[in-house]
Amino acid sequence: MNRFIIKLAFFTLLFFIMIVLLSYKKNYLVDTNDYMAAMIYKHQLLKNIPGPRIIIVGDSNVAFGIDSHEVEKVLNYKVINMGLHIGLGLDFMLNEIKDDIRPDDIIIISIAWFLPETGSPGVQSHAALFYPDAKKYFKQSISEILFFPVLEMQENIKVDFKKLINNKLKKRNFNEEIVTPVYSRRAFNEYGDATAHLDLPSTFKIDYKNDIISYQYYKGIKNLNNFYQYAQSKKANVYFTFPCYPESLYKINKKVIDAYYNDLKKDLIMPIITTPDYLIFPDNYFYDTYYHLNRKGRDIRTKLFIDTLKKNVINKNTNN
Amino acid sequence: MLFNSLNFAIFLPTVFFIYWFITKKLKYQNILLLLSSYFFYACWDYRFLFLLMFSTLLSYYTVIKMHESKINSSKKFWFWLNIFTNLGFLGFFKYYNFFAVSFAEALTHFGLKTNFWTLKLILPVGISFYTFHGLSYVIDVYKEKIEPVKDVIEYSVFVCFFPLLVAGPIERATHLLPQIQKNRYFDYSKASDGLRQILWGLVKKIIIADNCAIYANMIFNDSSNYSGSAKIAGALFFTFQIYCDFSGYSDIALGTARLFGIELLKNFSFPYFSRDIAEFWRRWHISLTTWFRDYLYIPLGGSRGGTWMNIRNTFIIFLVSGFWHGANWTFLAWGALNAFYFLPLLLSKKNRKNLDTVASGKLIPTFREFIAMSTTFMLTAFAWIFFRAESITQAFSYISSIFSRTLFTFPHEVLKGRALLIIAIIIIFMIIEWIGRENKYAIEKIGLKWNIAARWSFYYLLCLSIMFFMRQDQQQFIYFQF
Repeated sequence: MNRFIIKLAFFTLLFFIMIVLLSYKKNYLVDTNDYMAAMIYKHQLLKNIPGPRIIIVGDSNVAFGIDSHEVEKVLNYKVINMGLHIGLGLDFMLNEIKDDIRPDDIIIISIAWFLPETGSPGVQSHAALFYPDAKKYFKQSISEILFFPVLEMQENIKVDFKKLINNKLKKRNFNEEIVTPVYSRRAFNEYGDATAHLDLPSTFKIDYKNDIISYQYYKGIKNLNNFYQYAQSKKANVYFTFPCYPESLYKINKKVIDAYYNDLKKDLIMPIITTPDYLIFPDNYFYDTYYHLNRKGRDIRTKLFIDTLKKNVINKNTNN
Repeated sequence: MLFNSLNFAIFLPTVFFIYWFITKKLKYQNILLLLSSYFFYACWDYRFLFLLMFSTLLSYYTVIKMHESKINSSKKFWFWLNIFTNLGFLGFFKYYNFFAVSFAEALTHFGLKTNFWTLKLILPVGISFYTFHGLSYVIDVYKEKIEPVKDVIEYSVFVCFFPLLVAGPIERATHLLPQIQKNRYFDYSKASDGLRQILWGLVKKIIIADNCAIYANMIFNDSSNYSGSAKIAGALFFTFQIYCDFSGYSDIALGTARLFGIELLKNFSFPYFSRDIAEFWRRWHISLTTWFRDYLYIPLGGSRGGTWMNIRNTFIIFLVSGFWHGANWTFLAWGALNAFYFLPLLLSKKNRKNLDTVASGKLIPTFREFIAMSTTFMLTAFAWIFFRAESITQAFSYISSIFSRTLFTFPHEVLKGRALLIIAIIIIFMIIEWIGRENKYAIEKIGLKWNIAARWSFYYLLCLSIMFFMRQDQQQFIYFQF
C-alpha cells in the first residue's frame, strides 16, 4: 500500500512539473492568430488613444457590424470598437473599459438580447491566455484557476505544432494561399472592427429550434445602471442601443423583445437612443449568424449608427 | 460529478484514503462506500437522492418479506409489489410524457382531440441502471439463486455503489454482493491495473468521444447544410463517439471499483471488431444484453418452442432494449433494425458462430475476417443514425439525403484542420484496441514488460494527450441520459 501511494505521488508530482514547464513559455502571445488575441490590440487602442473617444462596447454584433473608420470620418471623433465575443458576458465587457474611461468619452453599449451577465468561463479564460489583465474582469472559480496552466500548455503545443507544419510545408514549396480566417486576430482592422468576412458569401440560415428567445426579466439592467453611475463619476457619457437582428427572427421573437424593451425603459437609467426595431434588417444582410452583418448590412447599419449619434449624442453634447 | 472533472479528482483520492487507511474494517468500509455514493449522487441532484433511498429500502424490505413468506401467494404478492413499484417509478419518470403525447397524437389521427397533461419531469440520473440492479436481486432471490441480504448497508451499497450508480455496468447480485459481504485487502497489482484502466477510459472519453461529438453534433444538428459524404462522416463520428463515451465510462467505473478491491462485470469487449451482429451484441453493453437474456428472453421461452417463438422473443428483446434507452420512437427503430440484422443469423442458426476473438493470437486478420468486421461495423454505424437522430423523420431525412449527388464529393466542409487530426487519432486508437483486443481493456498489458522509464513515458504521453485535448466545457457522458 505504501509503495503504491509513494509511486503514485511521485508520478503525479512529475506530471505537474511537466505541465508547469510546458505552460511556462509565453511565445504563443506573439505568434498566435487566435481570435481572442484581438483583445490585446483593442486594449492598446483604449490606453493609447487620447480622449474624448467614441467607445463601442458589446459583443461580436458590433465587431462585425460597424465601420468605425466611417464613423470617425463623419463625426470627427476617434472610435474604438471593443466588440469581440458574446461569451465574455456583460460584466466582463463593462469591467474591461472601466480603468480607461476618460472625461467626455462617449460610450455606446450594444449587446445581444438578454446577454448573460457572467459569460462563459471557457471564453473568458481563453481571452486571459492572450491578455492576462483580463483576469481582473471576471471571477475565476478554483477549477478555472487550476485549469489555466492546462490552457497555456494547450496553446503552446498548438502554436509549436503549427510552426512545425508550416516549416515543413515551406520546405516542400507548396503554393501558399494566404486567406485571413474570419475568426482570427488578423481579421480585425486598426479600429477593432472585424473585416475579413466582408467579401465572403453569406451562409446565414435560421435555426427555428434554437433561435427562439424566452422572456425573463433582464438582471443585467442593475449591472448596466452601476456602470452608468461609474462612468458618470468619470465624466463620461453612456448610451444604450439595440443589436442588429434579422427580420424573420424579429417577427418570431417580437413579443419577447418588446417585453425586454419595456423593462429597459422602466428600469435602465442610461439613455436608450434607439428602439429595438431600428436595426432590423432583411435576412440576406447577415453573414453567418443572426448578429453578424455582411458588407451591405454593415454599411447600412453604420449610416444609421452615425445618424443616431448625430441626433441623440453629438448634437446634445455640443448643446450642453 | 463527472468522472472527468476536478471534483471527482478530489473526491476519489479522499474516499480511497479514508477507505484503506481509516475505515479498515469491512463494516465501516461499507458505510463509507454508501455515504460517499449518496454524496456522489447528491452532487447530480439531491432531490432524487430520496427516491434512490426509498427505492433501495423498499426493495430491501419487500425481498425480506418475500423470502419469509411461507405461502406461495404471499411470496408472489411481495415479488410483484417490488417489480411493479420499481418499474412504476422508472415508467413514470421516463415514459409518462412519451405515452401521453403518443396516445394523444394517435387519437388525433382518428379525429379525436384530447388534452393529456404532460408533466415537466426531470429524469432522475441513473434510474434505468439502479432499477435494473434492484430487479436482478429480487428475481434472483425469488428464484432462490441467492439468499436475501440481512444487512441493509450491504444491500444499499450493492444498489448505490458510486462507480456504477449513474451509468452501470448493471451488476448482478450473485456477482457483486459476495464481494461487498467479504473482507477486502489492498492488492498493489489490482490497484495499478485499476489506475491504468481509468487512464484508458479517460483517453476514450476526452480525446476521442468529446472531439467526435463536436463534428457529430455539427453535422446532425444542421444536416441540411452538409453533403452526403459529410453525413457519412457525421454518422462515423457518432459511431466512435458513442463507443468511446460509453465504454470509456465503463473503463473508469471498473478501474475505480478495482481501487477499492471490487471487480465489476465487463461491459464492453471490443465490439467494433465483431464479425457479425450476434457477436456485436455479445460484446456491446454486455451487462444490459445479458440482463435481458436472463430475465426476459429465457423466461419468455428463449430459443425453445420453435423458430417463430425464437424470432418473437428476439424481437421483443431488441425492442425493449431500444425502449430502455429512451422514450423516443428512434430508439425503438434502432432496436427493431438490430433485430432485423439478427434475423438471418437466427434463421440460419449461425448466431453462435463467432464465439472466440477474431484473429486470435495473430496481428493481421484474414481477408474474410476483415470483410466480416467491416460489414458489421457499417451496419451498426447505419443503425446509430436512428439512435442519434431527434426523430424518425430526421433519421429518414438524414439517410435519404446521404444518397444524393454529393455522396461522391469530398466533404471539404468537415474534413479539414482539427477533424483530420481527430481522424488520425482514431486510427491510432483502433490500432491500439486491435493489439489489445484479447485483454480486459486495450492497454492492460502494454508496457508491463518494459522498464519503468519507458512505461511511465507511455503513461505520461497519454496523460499529456488527455490534457491537450481536454475542453473546459466538459461534455457529459451520453448514457447519463438513460
